[in-house]
Amino acid sequence: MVQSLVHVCLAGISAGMFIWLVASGLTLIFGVLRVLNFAHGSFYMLGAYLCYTFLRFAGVDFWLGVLLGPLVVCVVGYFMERFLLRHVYPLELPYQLLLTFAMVLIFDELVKMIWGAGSIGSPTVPGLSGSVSIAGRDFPVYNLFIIAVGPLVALGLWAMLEKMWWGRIIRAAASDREMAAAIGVKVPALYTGVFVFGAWLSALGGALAVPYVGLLTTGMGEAIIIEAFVVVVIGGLGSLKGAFLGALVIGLLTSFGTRFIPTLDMFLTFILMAAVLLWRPQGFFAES
Amino acid sequence: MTAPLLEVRDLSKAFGNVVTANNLNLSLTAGVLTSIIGPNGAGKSTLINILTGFIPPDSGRIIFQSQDITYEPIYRRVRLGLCRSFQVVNVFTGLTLFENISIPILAAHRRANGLFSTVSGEKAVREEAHRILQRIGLQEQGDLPASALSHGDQRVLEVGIALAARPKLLFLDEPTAGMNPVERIKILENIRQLSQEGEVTFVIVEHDMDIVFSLSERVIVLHRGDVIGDGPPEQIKADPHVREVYLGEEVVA
Repeated sequence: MVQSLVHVCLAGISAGMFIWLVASGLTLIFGVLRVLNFAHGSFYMLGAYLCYTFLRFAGVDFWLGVLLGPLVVCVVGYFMERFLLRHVYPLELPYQLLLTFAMVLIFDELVKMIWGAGSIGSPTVPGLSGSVSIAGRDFPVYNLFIIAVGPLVALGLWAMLEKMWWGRIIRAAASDREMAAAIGVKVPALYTGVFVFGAWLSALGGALAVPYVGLLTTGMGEAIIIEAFVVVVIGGLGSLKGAFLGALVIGLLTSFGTRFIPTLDMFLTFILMAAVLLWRPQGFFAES
Repeated sequence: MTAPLLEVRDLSKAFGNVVTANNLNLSLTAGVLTSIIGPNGAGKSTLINILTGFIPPDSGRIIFQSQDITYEPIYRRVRLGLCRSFQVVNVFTGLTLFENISIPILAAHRRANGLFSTVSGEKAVREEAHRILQRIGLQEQGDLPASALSHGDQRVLEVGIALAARPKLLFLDEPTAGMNPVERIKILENIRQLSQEGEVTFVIVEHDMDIVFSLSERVIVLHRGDVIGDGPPEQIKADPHVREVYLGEEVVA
C-alpha cells in the first residue's frame, strides 16, 4: 500500500510538471499582456511534434531536439503575437478568445496536414530510458528527471523576475502598462518578448513530453491546455507560484483519481475548479 | 531668444463633435514653470495626452528640441526627455519604492548596459535610485512596497518616478489631487525647488487656482480647445476674458 502510494505520488508529480510548464507560460502571458491564450496548448503540441521530427528525420540527438523544437515554436509565437494578437489587445476578452481558439483549430489542422492524423510512437531517451527501484518498485528514470526539471524552471523564472533588472520591468508592465509606457518602457517589444518566452516554456514542455507520453496526437494540445486553465484558475490568473502549486495539485489529484476512483478521473479536477471558483474566485495566489 | 523647448503648431483634435484642441499654437520655454488651467472639459488632459504620445492628434505638429515628434511612440519621447505623470496615482504598488524608481532608470539606460546587465551597471542604477529617493525625501522607505505609503507620499513617489526617467520637460497632471493641505505644501515645495535647480522644466495642469498663481511663472488658459489667455499670473488674474469664462465660474459656484 505504501509502495503504491509513493508511486502514485511520483506519477502525479511528474504529470504535474508538464502542466506546470504550460501553465507558467499561460499565466505569465496573461499577467503581462492580459491575453488568455487558448492556443497555448498548441505550442506544447508543436514543441512535441517538432522535437520528434528533428529526432526522426534530421537524426539529431534528443537534447538537440529539445533545444531546436521549442526554438522553431518561438518563431511561430513571434509571428502570432506580432501580426495577429497585437490587433486584438484593444478589443474585449471574447474577441481575444475567439482569435486564439481559431488558432487552436488552425494549428491542429496544420499538424494533421504535415504529420498525418494518426498517432506517432515516440522514442526513448538514451541514458534516461531505464528505471530505478523506489520503495521496492521500478520507476522510470526519465520521470525522475522531469520531476527535477519543473522546480528548476520555477527557480529560473523566480530569479529572472525577482533578481534581474528586466524581470523588474516585466513586473512593472504587468502591474500597470500605461504607466510603464509613460516612463520609457518599450511596451510593444516587451509584449512580443514575453509572449515568445511563454511559447518557449510551453514548447519545452511538449518537447520533453515526447519520450514521456509514448504517443503524439493532435489532441495533446487541447488536453493539456484544459488542465493548464484549471491550474491557473485555482492558482490565480497571473500568479506563477499559484501555477506551480496548482499544477502539483492537479497532477496529484488526477493520479490519485485514476488509481483509486477511475470512474471519476478528470471529473475530480473540474469539481475542484468549481469549488475554488465558488469559494475563492480569484484563485489562491492572485494579486488583488 | 533661444529655441523653445517644445513647440506646438496648429494642433487639432476632436472626439466626434467635441473639439478638444482647436488649431492650438504654443511654445514652452526651458526653465519656466508653466501651468495650464481651464474649466472641466477645456482639453487640458487631452493636450497632455497628445503631447506625450498617448493620443494621436488629428492634425498639426509637435516639435521637441527642434525635432519633430508628432508621430514618435511614447517610449521614444520619454528617452528624448519628454515625460508625464498621471491624474490618478500611478505607482507600481506591488514593487518597493526602490524598484519603482529603478524601472525608468533601467528603461532609459537599457542600451548602455546591454541585455544582461553587469554588476557595475546594477550599481549605477542603485546609486541613481537612492539619489532620487533622497531628493524627494523618501529614502527611509526605500525597501517598503509602494502600497504601504500614504496617498500623499505615493504622489511624491510618482514625481520621483517621473524624475528618474531624466526628463527635460515634465508634465504633471493635477499633482495635488486628493492630497491633504500638509502633503500639498510638501509636494509644491518639492516642485518649486526642483524647478529652481533647473534640470527639469515643469508644466503643471491644475484645477486649484491658489496653487497655480502661487507657483507658476507663466499661466496658459484653455477653454474648449482654444488658448484664451497666456502670460504671467498677475496678467491672467486681471484678464477680463479669462475672468468671464473661468474665474467667473468659480465665483458663481
